[in-house]
Amino acid sequence: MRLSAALLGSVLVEAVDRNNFKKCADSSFCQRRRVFNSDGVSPYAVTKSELIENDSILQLTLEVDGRPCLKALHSILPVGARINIEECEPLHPRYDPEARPSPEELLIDGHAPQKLKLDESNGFISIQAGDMRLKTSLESYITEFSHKDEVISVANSRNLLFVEELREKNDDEPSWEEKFKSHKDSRPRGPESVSMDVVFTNSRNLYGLPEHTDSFVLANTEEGEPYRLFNLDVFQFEIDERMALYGGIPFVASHSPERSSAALWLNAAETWVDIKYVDPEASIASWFTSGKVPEAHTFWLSETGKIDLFLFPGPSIQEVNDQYTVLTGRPQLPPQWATAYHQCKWNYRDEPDVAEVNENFDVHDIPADVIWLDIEHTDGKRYFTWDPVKFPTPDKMIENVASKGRKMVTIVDPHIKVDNNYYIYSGAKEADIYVKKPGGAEFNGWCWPGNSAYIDFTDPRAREWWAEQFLFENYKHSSPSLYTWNDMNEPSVFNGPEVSMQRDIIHHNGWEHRAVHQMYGLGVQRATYEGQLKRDPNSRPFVLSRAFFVGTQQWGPIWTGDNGAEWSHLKSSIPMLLALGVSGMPFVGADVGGFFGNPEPELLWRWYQLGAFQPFFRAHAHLDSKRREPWVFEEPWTGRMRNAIRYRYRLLPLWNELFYESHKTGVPPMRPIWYNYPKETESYGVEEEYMLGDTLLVAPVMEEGKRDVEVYFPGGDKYFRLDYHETPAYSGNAVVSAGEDEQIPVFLKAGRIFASKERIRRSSTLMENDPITLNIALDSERKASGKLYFDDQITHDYQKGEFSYKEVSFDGKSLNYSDSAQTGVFQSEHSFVEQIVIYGFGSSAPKSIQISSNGSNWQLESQVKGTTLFIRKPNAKSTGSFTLTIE
Amino acid sequence: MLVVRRHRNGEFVFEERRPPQNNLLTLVIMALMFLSFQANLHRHMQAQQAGHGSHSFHERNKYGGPQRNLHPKFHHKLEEEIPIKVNGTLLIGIRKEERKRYLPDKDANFLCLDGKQTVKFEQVNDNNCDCEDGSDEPGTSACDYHFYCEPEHRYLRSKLVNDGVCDCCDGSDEWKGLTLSDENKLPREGEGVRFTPCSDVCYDYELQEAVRLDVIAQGKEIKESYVKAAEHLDNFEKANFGRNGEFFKLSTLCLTYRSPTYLYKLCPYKEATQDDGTKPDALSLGKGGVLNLSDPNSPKLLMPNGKGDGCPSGISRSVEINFMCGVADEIAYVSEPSTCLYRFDLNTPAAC
Repeated sequence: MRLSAALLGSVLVEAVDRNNFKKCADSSFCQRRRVFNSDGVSPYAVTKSELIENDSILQLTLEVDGRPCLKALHSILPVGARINIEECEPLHPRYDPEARPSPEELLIDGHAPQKLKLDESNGFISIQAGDMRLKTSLESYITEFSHKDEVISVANSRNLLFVEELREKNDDEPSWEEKFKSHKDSRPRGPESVSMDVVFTNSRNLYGLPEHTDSFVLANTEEGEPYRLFNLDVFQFEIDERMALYGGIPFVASHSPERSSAALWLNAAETWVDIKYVDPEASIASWFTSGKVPEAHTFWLSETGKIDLFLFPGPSIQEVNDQYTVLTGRPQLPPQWATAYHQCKWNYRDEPDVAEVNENFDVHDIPADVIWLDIEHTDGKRYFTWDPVKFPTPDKMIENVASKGRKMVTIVDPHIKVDNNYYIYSGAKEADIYVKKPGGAEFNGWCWPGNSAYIDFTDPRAREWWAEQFLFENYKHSSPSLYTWNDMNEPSVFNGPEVSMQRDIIHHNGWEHRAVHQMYGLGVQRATYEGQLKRDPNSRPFVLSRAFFVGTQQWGPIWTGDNGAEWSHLKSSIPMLLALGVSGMPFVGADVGGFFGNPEPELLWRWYQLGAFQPFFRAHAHLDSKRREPWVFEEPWTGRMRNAIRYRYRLLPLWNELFYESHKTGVPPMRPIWYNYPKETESYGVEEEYMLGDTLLVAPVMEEGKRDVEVYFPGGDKYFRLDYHETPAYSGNAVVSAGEDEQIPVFLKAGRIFASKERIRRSSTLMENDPITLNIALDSERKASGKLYFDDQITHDYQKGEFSYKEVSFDGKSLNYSDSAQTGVFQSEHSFVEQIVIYGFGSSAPKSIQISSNGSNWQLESQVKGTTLFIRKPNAKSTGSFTLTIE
Repeated sequence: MLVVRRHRNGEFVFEERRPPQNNLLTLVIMALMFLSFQANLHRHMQAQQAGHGSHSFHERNKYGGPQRNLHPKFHHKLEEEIPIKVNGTLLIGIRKEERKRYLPDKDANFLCLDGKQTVKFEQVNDNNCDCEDGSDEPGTSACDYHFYCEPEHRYLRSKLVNDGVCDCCDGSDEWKGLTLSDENKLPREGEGVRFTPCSDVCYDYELQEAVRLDVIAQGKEIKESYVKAAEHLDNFEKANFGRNGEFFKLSTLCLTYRSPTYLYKLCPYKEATQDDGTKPDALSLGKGGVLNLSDPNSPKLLMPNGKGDGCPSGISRSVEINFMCGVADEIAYVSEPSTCLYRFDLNTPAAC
């Protein structure tokens, strides 16, 4: 949220006002049902079982004295097991993110349950398909999930399963309605929470549950607050907090040297999650594991909805991310320009301001791809319109920016100014797609434009209508070079409880807001994405969102919201983004410089250095922040920031490859060390450094005045510092210099190959035809390999095979550059390989280097610097094939 | 203008000529010169190569310094006579006065302009960066170097060469004739930027340039009267009014500027105000004035201490005046780049 001086007066607010947001004790269901630290109540017994749906689902009836009967559906999908629980005969239907009018939403339908093998003996009932099995105790409903006979996780291990019975209103029941500050929640259906525990066996480390600001390894919550997932617009959030933030993914990954696995609690209501790590001596989970193993206990509690638990077997973290994104949607392949540098500010004030910023990038020789316009560009915060005074000729302005290959982004928020003369307001009113008050009247709340109505993005009709608004003929002065930013989509309602919507507000099909809250922001971004597809079906859309949920990865990037210009926020960006990455959300970033406040140039520079190595790279600043474009602080700062940004452009070919891999398999470009070194236990808590793919190790400076970094090099592998040819390779622990005129310490892992582009133009678009450089780091056997990805950078033609996926390998003598088995047919007419740089080659030059391509051979020249060999001008096509022999 | 294409083996060949109308004659003459020269040179280079081994591309300069030992053929050539293609190497992106330095020495080598490195002459403009200082690639984008845009008498950064955007008014920076793919196609028109294929717009450029120079010349003349107006001040008093007191005159003036929303009144060195017509008093944006000449090309006057109401905590409004050379004192534009910081772009002869 970007509350301005106008709203706050001139009071300086230094920190989040915690009183505005609920703790567990302020939320009646959390206070009532947070039973994590207690023993389970008397357990449910399985009283009836039958296979249904062509033997693909096992339906169990669960009963215990004094509580309503429950129905549990067990199934095994190709990617994991699913446990779905609700009452046998609920008084009202319970919301299910799947049970929506458009079930393709979460792609679950595409992955139907498999045919089950049933086994019932010795008091257990098991279903099996392939390598996966769910085994349930009939006496007490405890269900083990195993993969290849190894128990991975256990649902309801501690008998904490509880479904609050839906019932007729009883006026004497104090928990029926609820007040928070001045807001009353009428809660017409009364208490309806659901909860269950999941234990990961043989696990000491859990990760995930974005978005929070505490450590990357999830903390033990016994003593403090649980993790809260409830998308909220939190003004000036703080570090080391488990408070809810702008987005939430109810996903936990467990990792141990032997295995990674994960759980998804698919519920769109407010959710609290408790975590506890248990020593082997106290472990409880399994009937099978011989001997005691460490356990990680989780407890999940949601305000409403069903229990819908997915357990993913791994066994590697890469497979976990693959399984999760098969189920919930693959990450979008972004247009390449979106992976370059973005310049944002609340606000570039008018057209001359935009023209000057655009021009200054060229004057100061800094590349940039996108200039952003925040809310002030509109006519009175009416989205899809332009301020006629400040932005009288948007077409000309956008065209001028686009003439350097750049794009523009305008903000389009989901709250609509109540004004009958505003075509969006009246159009949506006529289409009857606003969120309603319980009585059926249009809900109005306070946001940027003042009194606003909120489009109901859980309604497919509303999304369709919204998408239409992005057609070129509808969105006046939009152009193929204009893309979109969806902010405030938690949704943010300034005068609502916790700065959001009342929970008894009514959505499509009569669902209360409490049931669909986490789906709202996702719907906004999805509808905008679909709008951009409508206007231009073959261009890859670009929509940045602040709120997110399960599935957001399909529609575009998110950023971590309104951070502050503080060193602690710079540091926190790493664990925040890593948590998102392991939770299947790969295209993520934090505002460079920090949104609130005014960074000293040193902080801003260090942030540029780090941001250049994080997936979504955008600088942004508050309305009241001083200007801080990279040239504002003059030298030496401009030069340092320029160098930092240029690094991003050099490495765009690597980012291309990483985003493609992410799109195909769900693995994030930005990874914790343990992602690549699963058995290296020392790396499990590391959040001061990370890796890009399995190729680069990034070890930034994140402290004021610091000039060295202590770097941990994992796995006994050698790492070469990029561009430092006189320095020997590192391994183990080392102190690396990162002084004033030095680059961020970034290291190339021995054995890896990646491509860079060394000719840095004004924008990534203008680099389309440029040659590439191959960077190779030799391992101890003098071998290396890597993959390269090329396509047209911007359209969907890659889906029709218009891409080139290269495999490059070096065996100590020969370099083989050829198509991988998964390649397409794309050919780049102009791009060629202009240089090959081999780290760790040794100090003596080779006798001869011969290249052969397309039947012709020629000799190449080379040069040694330190122990790096530079091979001059191979001149082979980037999308072709060649072999190179070094004697 | 020449449009050339690079062969697979790195050789440049002429593909098509698109002579701009006003340069047609020059081009014909150049072409004729080039043809007769090429024949001679070719014979000679063959003789040269027969006598010398090949050089490693990073070989150090044997001659100890930037002193060039030119091939005898080139000894007495005037810059104008040096053809655009020498021994197969295109000498583009090079300022006329520097042409002489881009000729092969007697060993068919090129001495990098910093004098620290020798590379083979064929490595000049071969689209590969060989000199540490980048001087072997004045005509391509291979090095962080520069390309000379002849008609505008200025250097362009090498990164502007062959990137699909016409930067030099004759389009010579886009000699490779590259256009971006359909997917990445740039819009047709933009302010001050032109797209490949380029058209020759040097006439417009020259016109603008003439106007600009004329403004400077006239402004400088008027500036003398500004200096005179400060003659009565002693050096101490002058200190805040520029090197020769030329900004003093502005302190005796008040100027106005009307934006769609506000009326701005600026009395440099005294006070600047903003009036939205709704309140009895205009809002003070800044008072007094401190001249900042740290960037001699862009003098500024800072006027701090305006009203602080409604500003981010702890700051009050302030004004920064950007002086630009003009023939009269007038406010060109007022903006608010950061909340409560106002920028006045002011044309004045004092800045000429």
